[in-house]
Amino acid sequence: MRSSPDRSGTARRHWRELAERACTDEAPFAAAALYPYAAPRERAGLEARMFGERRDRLLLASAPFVAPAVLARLAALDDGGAVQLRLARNPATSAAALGALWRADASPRLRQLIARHARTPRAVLGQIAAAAGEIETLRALCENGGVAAEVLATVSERRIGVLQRLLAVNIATAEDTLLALWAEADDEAVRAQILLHPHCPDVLLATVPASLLERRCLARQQRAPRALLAELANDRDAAVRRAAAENPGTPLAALVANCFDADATVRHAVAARRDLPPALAGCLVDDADARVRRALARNPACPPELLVRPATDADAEVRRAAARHPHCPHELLDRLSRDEVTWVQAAVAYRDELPYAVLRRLARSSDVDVLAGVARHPATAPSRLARLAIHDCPDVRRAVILNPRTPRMVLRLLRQDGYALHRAMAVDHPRFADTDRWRMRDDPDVQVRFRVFQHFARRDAMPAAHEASVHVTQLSHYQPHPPKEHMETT
Amino acid sequence: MMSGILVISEHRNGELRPVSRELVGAAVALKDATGEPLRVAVIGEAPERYVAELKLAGVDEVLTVQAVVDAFDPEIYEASVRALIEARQPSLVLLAHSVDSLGYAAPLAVKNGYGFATDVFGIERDADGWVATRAGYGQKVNIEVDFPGRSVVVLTVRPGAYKPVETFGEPSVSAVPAPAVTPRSQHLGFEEPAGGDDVNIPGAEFIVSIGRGVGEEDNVEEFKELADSVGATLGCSRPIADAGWLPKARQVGQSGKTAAACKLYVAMGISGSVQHMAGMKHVETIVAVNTDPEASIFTIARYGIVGDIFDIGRELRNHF
Amino acid sequence: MKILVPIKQVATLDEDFEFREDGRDIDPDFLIHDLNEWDNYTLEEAMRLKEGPGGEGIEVVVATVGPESADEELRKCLAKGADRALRVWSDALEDADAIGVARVLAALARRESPDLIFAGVQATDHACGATGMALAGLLDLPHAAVVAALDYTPGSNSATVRRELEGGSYASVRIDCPAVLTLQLGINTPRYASLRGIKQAAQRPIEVLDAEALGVTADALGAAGSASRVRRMYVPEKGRAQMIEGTPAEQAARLAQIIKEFGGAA
Repeated sequence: MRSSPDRSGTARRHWRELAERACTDEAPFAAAALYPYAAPRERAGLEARMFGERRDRLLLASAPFVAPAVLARLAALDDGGAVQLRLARNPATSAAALGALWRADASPRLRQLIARHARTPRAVLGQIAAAAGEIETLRALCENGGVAAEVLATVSERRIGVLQRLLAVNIATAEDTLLALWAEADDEAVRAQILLHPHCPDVLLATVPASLLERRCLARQQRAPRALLAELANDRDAAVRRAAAENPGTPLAALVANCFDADATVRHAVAARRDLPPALAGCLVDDADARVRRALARNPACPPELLVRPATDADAEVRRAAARHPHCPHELLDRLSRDEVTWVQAAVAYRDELPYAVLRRLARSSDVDVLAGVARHPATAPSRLARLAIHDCPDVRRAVILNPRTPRMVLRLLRQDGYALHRAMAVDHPRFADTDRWRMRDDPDVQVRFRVFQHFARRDAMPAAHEASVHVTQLSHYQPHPPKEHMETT
Repeated sequence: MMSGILVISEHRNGELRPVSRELVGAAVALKDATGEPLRVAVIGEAPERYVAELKLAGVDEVLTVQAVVDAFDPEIYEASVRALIEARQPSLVLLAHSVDSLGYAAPLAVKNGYGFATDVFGIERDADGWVATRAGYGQKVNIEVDFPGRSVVVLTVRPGAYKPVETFGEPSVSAVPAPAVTPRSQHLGFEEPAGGDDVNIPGAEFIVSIGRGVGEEDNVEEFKELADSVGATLGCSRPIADAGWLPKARQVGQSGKTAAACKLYVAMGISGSVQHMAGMKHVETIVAVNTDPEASIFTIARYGIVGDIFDIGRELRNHF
Repeated sequence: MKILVPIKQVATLDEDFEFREDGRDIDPDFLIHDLNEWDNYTLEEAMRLKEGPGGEGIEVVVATVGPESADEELRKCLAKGADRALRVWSDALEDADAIGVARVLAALARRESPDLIFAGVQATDHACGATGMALAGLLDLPHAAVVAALDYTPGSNSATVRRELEGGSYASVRIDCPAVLTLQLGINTPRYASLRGIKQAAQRPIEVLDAEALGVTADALGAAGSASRVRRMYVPEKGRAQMIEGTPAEQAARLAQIIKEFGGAA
C-alpha cells in the first residue's frame, strides 16, 4: 500500500484535484477519505489538513467511519488525553493502535475504554485481567464483546464478587468458569444467568430449580433436557411456561396443553413456533387473542390454506401478518392489496413476488407506506420510479434509492435531493455512474463529500492499497441500508 | 434590605399542580438554612379555594391575588408576581419550571432587572448571595450561576428536583391587591389530545423505540407487545421504517417525526445516528438499551443498560 | 408584513471533553456547532405563512446574536427561503446570558419592527427557555410560550394559538398581534433546503451589525445586561448516563421502576 499507486491519466487528474480539494476542505474528513490510498509523498499534505488543528484531531478520533490507518496515525502522534480517549472509544480503532495507547501512565478512563474495546489485543486484556487494580477497568473488561474465554477465566480467578454478574452475562465465558461462578454465587440472579448461558455446564441443567427467576431462565436454555423443558412447559408461572413454549428444544408433545393456556402470551409463543404442526395451527387460528392469531398468521409453519381466516380477520394487524406470511397465496394477496387499511396494503407492497396487476394497483395508492413498498419493489417500472423519485415525501424518495434495481437515470434525479442523506445514499448506489459521482465532489454536505472522495480513492487505488481498506467502515452515522435481513425476506 | 422567600404556586383546571408543593419543599430547606421567612402565593379568579392546600408546614404566610380569570394568562401572572414582590420584598422568588412560567418569568425578570435563572435543581446562599445550579450542554455539565448586584432573584425550579411538603402548618393568610392589567390574550379553553388509534409520535409522552437491534421483522411484534404492556407508544429508527417493518408515522428522527412532547424515551437496539438523535435528544429522560457499551446513544442517555434488548424486553414484561 | 425569526447557533458536546482554563465554560475545541433544533420549526412556520394564502407580501428575516461562525446557521435559513439574514455581535456579548441576548435582539427588533416574532421554546444546548419571552417583555408585546399550533391569517390583528401543556393537553388562546410566540417542536414538518438553495445561500449577503451601533448601551451589553453570571461549570459527580448494572433481570427491574415512577409523576 505504500507503493505509489499506478493510476490512469484521468484517474491521476481526478486524484490530483481531489487531493487539492481535500487539503482546503472546511472539514478534515475529505483528507481522511483519501489518506489510506495516498502515496507516501502525498500523505504529508493530507496529514497537515487532518491533524493541524486540535479541533480536527478530536473530530477524527471519534469518527467511526474513517479508516483505521488514519486513526493509527493519530494514535502515534503524542496528543494528550482527549484525543486518546476518543480513539479508545472509536470502534474502528485497530488492535495495533489500541496496543500503542496502552501505557503505564494511562489515565483510569483510558484504561477503562481500552479494557472494553472489542479490538484490544489479547495480550493487553490478559495483563488487565491479571493485574488491573481498579474495579471500573475490570468491569469494562468483563463487558468486552470481543474478549477471549481465557481472559475472563483469569478475572474470575481473582474472585471479585461484584464481577460475578458480568462474567455470567458475557457470552464468551467458558464452561469451567461458569461452574466456578456457580459454586461461589450466593445470588439467584447470577445463578439464573448461568442457567441461561450458552456454555452452561450440563450438570447444572439436570434439575428444576426452586426460584422463579432460575426456572424462567432454565426454560429458555436450548440445551436443557427435553424432559425438564416439558416439565417447565407446565410450570405454575406463566412466564416460565411462555419461555418453555418459545424454546425450540421443548418437545411439541409437551405443548399441546399450552395451546389452551389461560395466559395469551403462552399461546402466542406456541403459535410462533417454527415447528408448529398443522393440527395445532388449526387449534390456534381462531384464538380469542389477536396477538396469538397474528403470530400464527406470519409463522411460516402455518399452512397457507389456513391463511384465509387471518386474511379476513377483523383485526388489521392479523390481516397484515397474513400478508407477510412467506407463502401467502396470490389470491389472498390480491384481496389484501385492496384492504381498507393501508398498512395492510403496504405489507403486500413489500413482497418481492407479486402478480403484476397487484403491484400496479398498489402503485396508484397515495399512502406513503404503500408507495415506499412500491418504490423499492424489484418489478416496479423505471418510469414509475422516476415519478416516485420526485415525490413530496422523503420516505418515498429514499425507498427509490434503496431499490438496488433503480436505474441510473432515475438516481440522477436524486443527486439534487434536498436531504443530504439521500445524496449520500445515492453515491453508494451500485447503478449510480462515476460521472454523476464526480459532479458531486463539491457537494455542500461534508458527509456526501466524504463518500465521493472515498469512492474515487478506492476505485483508483492499487490492489495492494485496496487491501488496506478492507476495514473501512461505512459512514455509520448515516446507516443508509436497512437491516440486511430485509433483503432476504419476502 | 430584601428578605424572604416567595413561592408562586400553580394551578390548572381548578386543581393545584403538585409541583407547587415541591417548590415549598425547596423553600423550606432554604428557610432553615437562612432564616428568611417563607411565603406562598396563589393567583386566580377565586384564589381562596387553594389556600387550605397551601397551608403547608414551614410556610409563614399564604398570599392571594385576585385575577379576572382563573386560567393562566402571562400578563396577569407577571403583573401579580411583580405586585407580590413589591408588597413583601423577598430576596428569592421560586417558580416552577413549567409551561406557564415559561410564558411570564423571563419578561418579569428582564423588565425589573431581577436576577434570573431557569430550570435550576440546586439553590444555596453564600456570602455573595443566592447561587443556583442548572444543567448545560444537553445536561452533560452542571453550571453554577450567581446574581451579582441583584437584590431580587427569580428562579424557575426543575419539577421533581425537590421533595414535596405533604404536612400542614398554620400560616397567616393575606390578600395582596390585584394590579390593573388589560390582558392582550384570552384563554379559550383546554383541549385534550386527539384520541383514537392513530400513531402520534409528536404527542406521545412515553415512547419505546426500536432500531436495528431487533434484527428481523418477526421480532418487531415482540416490542409492539412490550410497548402496549408498559403503556408506551412504539417508535422506531429509520432503518426499521425503511424496511417496511413499521409505518413511517412511527419513525423518529430527522427524516421522520420529532418526539416533541416526550418525557420518557426508551431506545432499544438503537445505536444513535445523528439523524435519529435529532428527533429525540431533547427528551428529559432517555433510557438506552444496547449491547455496545460505546454506542452513541449512551452519550445522550440519562440511564444506560448494556445488554440484549430481547432479554431486557422479556424481563421487563414480567413487571407489567 | 414582516416576521422576525431569531435563531441560535448551539453547541453540542461529545463525551470526554475538557473545560476552559477559567473553568467557566467548555474548551471551544470540543464544541460542535449546529442550528438549534427548534429554529427549524420557527423558520418553517414563518415560511408556511409566507407561502400560504395572503402571504405574498411577507418578508421573513432571520437574526442571530453570535460570532462569525453563526453565519453558517443563518445561511441554512437563507437556503430554505428566508429573505434576509442579520447577525449582531460584539466581543462583550461573550458573557451574555439569555437575558443579555434578548436585550440585543430587542434593539434589533425595534429597528426592524416586525409584525410577528417566532422564537424557539428553548435551545438544545442550555435549554433556558428564556430568550424569546424576555424579548417579548422588552418590546412589551403580547406573547405566548410553547405554541404547538398556530392559526393566523396574514394581516389579521389577532391569532389563535394552542399552547402545549404538561400531561399532553393543550390550552387554546387568542392573542393580539403583533406578538411574540415561542414555538414547540412538531408544530410543522420542517423542509430540507434544496441543493440549489444551499449554493445560492453561500453567495447571499448577511448583514452584520455591531451591538453598540444598534443602540445597546454599555450598561445593557453582555455581562452587564445579563441576569446571571456563570461561576463555574463542572461534570456532575454521577456523570450523565447512569449505567444500570446487573443481570438482565435486575436491569429490567430497575427500568420497570423508572417507567412506573414516570407513570406516577405524569
